Amino acid sequence: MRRLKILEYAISSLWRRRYKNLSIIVVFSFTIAVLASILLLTHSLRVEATHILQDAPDVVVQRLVAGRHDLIPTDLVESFKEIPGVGEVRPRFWGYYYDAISGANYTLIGLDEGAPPDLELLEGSLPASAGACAVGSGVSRSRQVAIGDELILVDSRNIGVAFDVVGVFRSESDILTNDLVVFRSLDLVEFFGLPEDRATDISVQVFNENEVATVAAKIKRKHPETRPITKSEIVRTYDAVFNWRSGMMLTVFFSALIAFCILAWDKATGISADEKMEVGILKAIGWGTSDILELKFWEGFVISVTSFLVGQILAFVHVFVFGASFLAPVIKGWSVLFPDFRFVPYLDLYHIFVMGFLTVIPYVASTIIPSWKTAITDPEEVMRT
Amino acid sequence: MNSSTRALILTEGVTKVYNPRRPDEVVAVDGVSMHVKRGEVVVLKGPSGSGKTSLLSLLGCMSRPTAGRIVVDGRDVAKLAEGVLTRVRRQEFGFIFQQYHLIPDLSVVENVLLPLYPTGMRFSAMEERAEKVLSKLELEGKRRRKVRRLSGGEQQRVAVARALINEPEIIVADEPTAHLDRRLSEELLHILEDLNRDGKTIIIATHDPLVYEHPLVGRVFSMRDGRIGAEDGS
Repeated sequence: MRRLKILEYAISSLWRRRYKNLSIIVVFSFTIAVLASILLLTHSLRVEATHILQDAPDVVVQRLVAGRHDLIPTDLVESFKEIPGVGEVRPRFWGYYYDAISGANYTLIGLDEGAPPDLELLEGSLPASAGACAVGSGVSRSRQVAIGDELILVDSRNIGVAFDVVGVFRSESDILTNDLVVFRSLDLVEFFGLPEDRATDISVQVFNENEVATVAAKIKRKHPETRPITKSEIVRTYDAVFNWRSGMMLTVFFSALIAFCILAWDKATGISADEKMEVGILKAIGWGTSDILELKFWEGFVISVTSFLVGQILAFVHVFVFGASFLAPVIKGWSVLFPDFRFVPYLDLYHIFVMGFLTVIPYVASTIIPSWKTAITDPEEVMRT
Repeated sequence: MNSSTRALILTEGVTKVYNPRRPDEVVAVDGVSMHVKRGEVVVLKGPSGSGKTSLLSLLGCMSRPTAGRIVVDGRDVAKLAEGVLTRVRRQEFGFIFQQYHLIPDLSVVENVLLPLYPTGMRFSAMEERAEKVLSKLELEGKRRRKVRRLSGGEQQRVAVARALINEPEIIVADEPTAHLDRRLSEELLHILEDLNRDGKTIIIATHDPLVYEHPLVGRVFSMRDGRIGAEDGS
């Protein structure tokens, strides 16, 4: 009952200084929302990347010319198959296409007729005949095309080519398919004007996952002009890129948080004459030091937890409802376009705990400590000053 | 049995120094020895700066003496732990301050109930006690009104109500008529008279003749430069 009464008084005390407290909650919530958005966004991107890479080939072999990625001869496929432990080997045909109409970059992929499709999230069907294509949901939205419509793209000869849309990937969550346009490989080769004996790269499956690195090394030894990239290397690259970007953002915004804490500390240490007098009065009429500290604890706790919850909810809505529209360009980077991109909502207790620890506790401490100095002083002395 | 053993409050050579060993050191109370008996009304009178308020704070356990001894109902205040001293202050004393020291944005009843918050008393019991006190001070009709909207006299009565809510044995009042006109001052003295009749011990610091010459007052101690001079008696 005692605790409840002190909590009640703390809330009424906050209400009496509502404009000041509201302004603190607004600033604090915003800071927490930005920090939480960065963490949620980075984590979501990593989850998406990991999800995509589950179906990725064990090794992707590119050809390098003067240190740059170049088309790879398809006859290397047979050479790779001769390496012990190697399973299926397939040439892959893909490229990027800048669409001036939507101002977006699409990823164009050729699908081998005999190859099993890795892309499962499909409505309609994969292109089985010449002139057909399947598009990602981002492409579908930005070009306003659906199954049965025509998608017109400009080929390497600057001629508009119409493809029949026969499928739309329904992935709202998948990074890979959102900006994707899938054709038959022959259509893609013709569209980009690729030489017949060349592919973009070659995918290699390895029977034993423990031998992936060995197989990659053997490929490199056998064909020094190639660059074998293993799945684990790609995962590491994704992690490093997102970690680096989020690290940069977090550094900037943690600085903002620290600045806020300093302000909060300043506010708290500069406990106003009114607040000091109130502490003196409460002590004089029979409140103990522990009662005052409990009161101040509840005040700090209510403000910081409210700000924390509001900040977390704002971050959740920002990232998972509005697709992180403010932060995504910074975190996701330059190379890929994600029109109206959406992530799969998730809650990470570890992140929530860390954020809570780094925001609620410092604020509560910055409220209690200066009040403690006043609370341990004799009430008569507090009221006199 | 001597007067010391019968005393509710006893002081022996009590001294209070503010900012000790600093250039702005002030000896507010200087070696005061006195006692207050149960049920009596005692006045500390003297000009501003004579140390009345400081001595009143010491007697009311609002501060600890720099030197000397204060015994309240047999307990040496200087030796009490902080928590015990708080309990003594809460259970034994009711304070009426010169500036009222109410929380202006709280209602009358909220201000009056404040001393009960840390006691853990049930809400219904608190309300019951508030009803009784507010009725005694004729404030029932204004219980939900914000204190800042009340007149000076009404605020003073709220302060008295707050002082009484814990049913203390001792009422400590610092210049209680300083901001009241003659009519309101007499009204307040009438309230204090009633309280004394109910058995409350009352200690008042004042320089208002209306108070220290009132028949209610048992003994008057004159203060100057932190020392108690002649006991005027009654």
